[in-house]
Amino acid sequence: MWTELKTLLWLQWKLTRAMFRSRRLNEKLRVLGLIFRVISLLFTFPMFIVMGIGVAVGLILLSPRAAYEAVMIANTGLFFIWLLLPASANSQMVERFEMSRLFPHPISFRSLVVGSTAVSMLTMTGFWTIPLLIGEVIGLTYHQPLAFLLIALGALPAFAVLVLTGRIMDDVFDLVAGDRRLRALALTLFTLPFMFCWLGQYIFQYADWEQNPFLQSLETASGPGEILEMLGISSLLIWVPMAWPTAGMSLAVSGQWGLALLFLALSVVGVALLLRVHAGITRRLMQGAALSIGTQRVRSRKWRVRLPGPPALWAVFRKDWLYLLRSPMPRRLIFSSIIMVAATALPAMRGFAENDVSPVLERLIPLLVGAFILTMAGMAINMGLTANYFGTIDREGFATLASSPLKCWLVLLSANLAALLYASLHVSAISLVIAILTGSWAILPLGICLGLCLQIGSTPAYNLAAIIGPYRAQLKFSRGTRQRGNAWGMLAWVVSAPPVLALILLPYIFWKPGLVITIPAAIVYSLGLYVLTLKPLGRLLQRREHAILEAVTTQE
Amino acid sequence: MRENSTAIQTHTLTRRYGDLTAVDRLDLAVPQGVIFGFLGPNGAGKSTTINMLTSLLPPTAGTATVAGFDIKEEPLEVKRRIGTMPEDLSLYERLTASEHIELVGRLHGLDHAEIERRIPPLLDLLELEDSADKMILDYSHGMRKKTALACALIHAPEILFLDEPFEGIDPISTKAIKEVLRDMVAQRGTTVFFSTHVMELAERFCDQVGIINKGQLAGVGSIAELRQRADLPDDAPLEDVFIRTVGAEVEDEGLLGWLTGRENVD
Repeated sequence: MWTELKTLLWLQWKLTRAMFRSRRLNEKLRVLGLIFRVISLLFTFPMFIVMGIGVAVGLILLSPRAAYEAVMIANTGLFFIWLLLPASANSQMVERFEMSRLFPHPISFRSLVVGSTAVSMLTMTGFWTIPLLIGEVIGLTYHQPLAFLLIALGALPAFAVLVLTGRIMDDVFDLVAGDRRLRALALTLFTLPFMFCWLGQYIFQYADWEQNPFLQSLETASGPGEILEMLGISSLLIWVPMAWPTAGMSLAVSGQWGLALLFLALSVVGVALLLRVHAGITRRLMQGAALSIGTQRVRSRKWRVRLPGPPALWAVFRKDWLYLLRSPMPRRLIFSSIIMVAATALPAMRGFAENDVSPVLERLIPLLVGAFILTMAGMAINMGLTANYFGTIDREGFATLASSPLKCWLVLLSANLAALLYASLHVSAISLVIAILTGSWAILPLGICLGLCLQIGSTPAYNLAAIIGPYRAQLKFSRGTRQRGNAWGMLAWVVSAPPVLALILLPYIFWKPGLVITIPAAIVYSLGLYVLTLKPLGRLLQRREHAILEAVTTQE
Repeated sequence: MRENSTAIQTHTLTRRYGDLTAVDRLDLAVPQGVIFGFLGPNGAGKSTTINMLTSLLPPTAGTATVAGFDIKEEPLEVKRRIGTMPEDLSLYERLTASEHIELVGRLHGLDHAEIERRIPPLLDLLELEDSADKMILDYSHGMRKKTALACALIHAPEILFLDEPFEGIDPISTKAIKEVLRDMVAQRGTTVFFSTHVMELAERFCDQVGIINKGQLAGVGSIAELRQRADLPDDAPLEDVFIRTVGAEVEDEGLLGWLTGRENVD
């Protein structure tokens, strides 16, 4: 087993070291890139140590009770970071240690379970977690030096819970990697904790500070330590598995030795359970669970409608529409819109009902809320469908179009029409829901108009983003293409959305009759911008065909 | 290898995915020291069979032994004795070919000096020496295949499982690899089990072939035996034997007249 473990650690070392390998052909650029990476690491590691020292000093400055609360919050944050990091940041920097690639070779189950856990510790996340935990141990020990052993012992299961959580997430991704639908579902589920945190802020934002004596008392708190003590969030966080070892290491500080020991014992049981889950998934993977993921049959209807225009355009449009419907992206967009409406429209409604709002604000708030949701939804649709054209709609299949005599602007037009058709349904549904929730029916036509203008007017910028920064979101090393693609998409939004928003929102706020002119102007602006840019973008797409294909297919 | 002259033995080996039976009651015996070609149309169950025989996928029913070890009960013993080149290649893309081969050598318990001794001739054989220090990420499909093949060979296995091994590999390397495999079979008694669609390759390279169709074994034996069973003359190409054995019917070419031009000629 030791030889196998050594080999697995050697493998992780090689994969981590490969982070410094550059694919640049230019020798000077390669050396520059290497220097940049070394410098960034030289800054990063001392920064982790500084963070650890900061945690220790911060805890020393707090009261024992507040220190306990602070450690509980910090460790819960760490827990969520470990929960999500395998899916995003880690795999962007270092190639994932995919256990399934080792299965053809003679490596025992025990070695794989232990080795993969050890490998999870030796990641960047692991490296910066250790100084933070050491800082916590020092800070807590200051308040109760006698509890040093208990605190240090508690830090071990705390680290183990974090590492195993990250490991299990990695396992789950290995398990679902072969199935796009399951992968999308997993990603959605993992964003839920953050969604809830986002929604949670409204509890504070809309709480009635003046009526609630507890919230009023918070205003009298003398400092952050006292606020932490008064809030007592630990009583809620104790339900998160990470809180058990945290309580084990920090309750002794406030003299609750028995309870600390109890939580320490509970955390050891928790670690054992997590290890068991990891072992269970590893066994399932070794038994071919990832290979056994089934196939899905889909309905394929004949397309009998004859539409005006080039038949090749409608042939591609049919493909794009089918591809879009069979992609998990629309379901993700619907899910995020539901969350957004719940997080924005509902609190706005409550604000209406309970506060004395001036008639002007009463008229404006539904539109502003609607505009915000529609802008965000439009951005999500365009980021998911238009800027991510080579991820959602055309992947490596783009090679088929590239090798056909079809003009590239028709390829773009088809994809944009498919996205527009989806966006019009999505935007109409959102506008209807907001109109019902706020009781402001003017939102419906205005919202649809705003949503469609944003979609059409923004499309050229997102098309440009897709052509310049093509990427595919995958759960594996992708050489930063995903971030690059996202950055281009964001830039596209900044450039394209404000004129449309200004043309529709400003007249509504300041001079309603002006809408008669500005709405057609917004439509003309959007359509004009689209029509004027379509062919140049098509030519750009043609010029970049090879680079795009390389970017999309080499990730396979 | 346990005392047994049969390298691979399956008994009603079955694999189902929901309603789909990918491999259906496969009974197969591959003797030691032969090159065995596993032929079948696309989706016939070749890769699923190889995945089961290499202990990557447990069978739904039936049993199989490889090198005398049960694939389900003793998967590690099986993996120690085999070399595999799976369909998806399963390579770490940020490693170089040398590093990847070293990884597999280490996993098979070879010491560092032995690995160092074996890697250069393997790279030379597969014409990878010039690219040995490049990341696999930058390799073409053929080069990735060669790397996976080198990984399958580094520990000189008793049985080799190769899924479409020569697809995408240049003719010079193909010839060199075939010669090495033949030597392994003749000198060391290695068994080579490989799947392919290329009938000419199977005809010239294999001692025995098995034909699988819709998950069921349609025929097994030497090519001469299969010809005889299919009632075909001694000089009939394997392609005809294959088509006759799987019971496939060639499409009426009249329907493809628009493509072949045959209807115009007639």
